[in-house]
Amino acid sequence: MPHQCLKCGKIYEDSRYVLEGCPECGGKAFYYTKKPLGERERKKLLEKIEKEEAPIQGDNMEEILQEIKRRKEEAIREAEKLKEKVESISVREVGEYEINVGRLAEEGAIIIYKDGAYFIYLPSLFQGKK
Amino acid sequence: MGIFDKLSGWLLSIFGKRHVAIGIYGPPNAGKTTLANRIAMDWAGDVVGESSEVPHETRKIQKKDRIVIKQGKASLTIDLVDTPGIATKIDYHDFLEYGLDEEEAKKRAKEATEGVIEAIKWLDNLDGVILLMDSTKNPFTQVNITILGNLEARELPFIIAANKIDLNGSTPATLKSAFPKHEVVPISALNGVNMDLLYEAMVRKFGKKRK
Repeated sequence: MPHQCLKCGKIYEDSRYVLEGCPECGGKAFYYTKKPLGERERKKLLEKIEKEEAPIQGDNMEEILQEIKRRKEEAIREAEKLKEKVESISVREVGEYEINVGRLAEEGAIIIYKDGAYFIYLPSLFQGKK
Repeated sequence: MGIFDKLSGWLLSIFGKRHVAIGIYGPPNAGKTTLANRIAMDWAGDVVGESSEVPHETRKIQKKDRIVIKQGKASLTIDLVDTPGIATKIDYHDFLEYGLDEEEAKKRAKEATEGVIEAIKWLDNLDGVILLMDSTKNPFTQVNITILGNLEARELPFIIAANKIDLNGSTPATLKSAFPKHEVVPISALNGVNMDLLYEAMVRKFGKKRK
């Protein structure tokens, strides 16, 4: 199946461009598909990727290091916020879950939060306490 | 082992005088705080915490130290631990009918969930447990069975107290036949019925030195 560059839409059978980048436009994001995507679909996907995994860019090493530091601090802040939560898994809607890795890893407690109710799996709390 | 240890061990075996930490466990609204208050009032003239009809009133561990229970020549000093109710589902909607506003109800649900975790963690610090069940309710719940199974696995001494025997619809006999291997004491913590039986069982069961 071909790889389509999400930036310019060009199709490549050879997967080496996925690693090297698109020779036409330099795009780094590809979509593996039988049916090439239209411009609107490509733009939507690209925006989503950029939002979720914006590459670290900078003119010099100092800027890049600053950006790494900023992102690390942001990730720590997010993790701290989760620490205050009692649930290990939140069901936002069916198919969309937020996992509180800290709670799961530290205590192994399985507490699921959905629509204002906490569901507590008791054996997970008693685990390893024999 | 020194002479003093030998002597005190011998005295313990005769009079069973010990200092132990005892926790009261059970589902929400079984009457744990009422029982803790009853024990504390009977032997120390004090209360442990506030009880209410709204489930999950106790959301943090409450403790009353050095309560001395006497039974004839034997006595038992206990640190009494009242624990939050163990539940498998805590829904804030359930609190709304008791007049709590949404924010309060959500806070209560979160604290009650934290309370379940804390209560179970506390088992590590205890020498014995009173597992309190509501004798007007079906005893075969996930909560009762899970706690009981864990206490057995830990080999932690425990007594099942079948509470609310003064209420209509109470069937302590069902509870007794549900757990034939274990000691079941029918009581009413609120009205003080059969408390002497419970104290006798506590001194006998928790006064023994654990292996």
